[in-house]
Amino acid sequence: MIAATAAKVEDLTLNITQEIHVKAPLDATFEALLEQLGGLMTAAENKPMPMKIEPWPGGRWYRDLGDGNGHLWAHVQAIKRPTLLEFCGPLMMSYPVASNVQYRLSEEAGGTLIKFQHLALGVIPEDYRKGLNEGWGSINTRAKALAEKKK
Amino acid sequence: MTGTATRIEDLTLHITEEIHVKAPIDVTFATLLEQLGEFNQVAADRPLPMKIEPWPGGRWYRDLGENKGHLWGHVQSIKRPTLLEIYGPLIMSYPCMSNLQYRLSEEAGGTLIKFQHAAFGLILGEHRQGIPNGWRYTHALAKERAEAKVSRGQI
Repeated sequence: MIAATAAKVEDLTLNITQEIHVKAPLDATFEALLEQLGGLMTAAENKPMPMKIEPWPGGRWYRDLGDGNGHLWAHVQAIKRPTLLEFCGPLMMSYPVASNVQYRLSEEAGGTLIKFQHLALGVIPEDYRKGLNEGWGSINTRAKALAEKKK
Repeated sequence: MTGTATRIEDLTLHITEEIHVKAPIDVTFATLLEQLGEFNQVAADRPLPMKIEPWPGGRWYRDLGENKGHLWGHVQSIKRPTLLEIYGPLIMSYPCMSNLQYRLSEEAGGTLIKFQHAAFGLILGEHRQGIPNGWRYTHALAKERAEAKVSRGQI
């Protein structure tokens, strides 16, 4: 259990942005991203942690443990292949935090630019605040490698 | 966007509206679902058709075809013809949770809709300013459509 110790609104927010330059076409990058966030998802120390994404508006992004067990991370808030993927939900945080995660893809010279943003509001423990930036960096790097391998 | 709120009050939004409709409650409820769904529009020349799956947990979403689209919310409660409640991000692409309530009751000559939109999150100024007008526009259309059904004898 975590305690709410935030004294300012800023303490309740998290804002992570990353830009990933991928040497692969837009379509391939979008598909690689879905794969990386889905079946090829990894956790800390790059341990496999396969997730499932139902790639339609309102679809679930969740950890399927079988037999009806699992963890819901989010719902798909927006999906417009191959330029936008957006989620809203608690992610891995088992406390009152609302997150919005956006991947906006566009063509650039030699490939695709992914603009990533994770905005959250809630009671966010300090260790998550530190770890999430690194975690997204790892996931997004893997998505880039996957797309460039597939092209 | 970035959170510029400095006070907890800046993180909230609370809109209420009462709509008096000269139509029976079941017609009003059905019309409300239509207005929020396929007849949704943001201006006279700007239709924005949505879909509502009218059951608990059903989606309220913009269907762009081929599994593309935008999720606005899920049905939190539905009790025909007196309650429709939706929760979700609505149009806001940032951490903000909304609860919408439509509570319908019979009154002399028709139906009273009590509407409430409560939200908590990093609410952009443009949304804070624009959303009340948007709801008023939507509700005026729902009222007009329900009353037109009565005038045309479609009940």
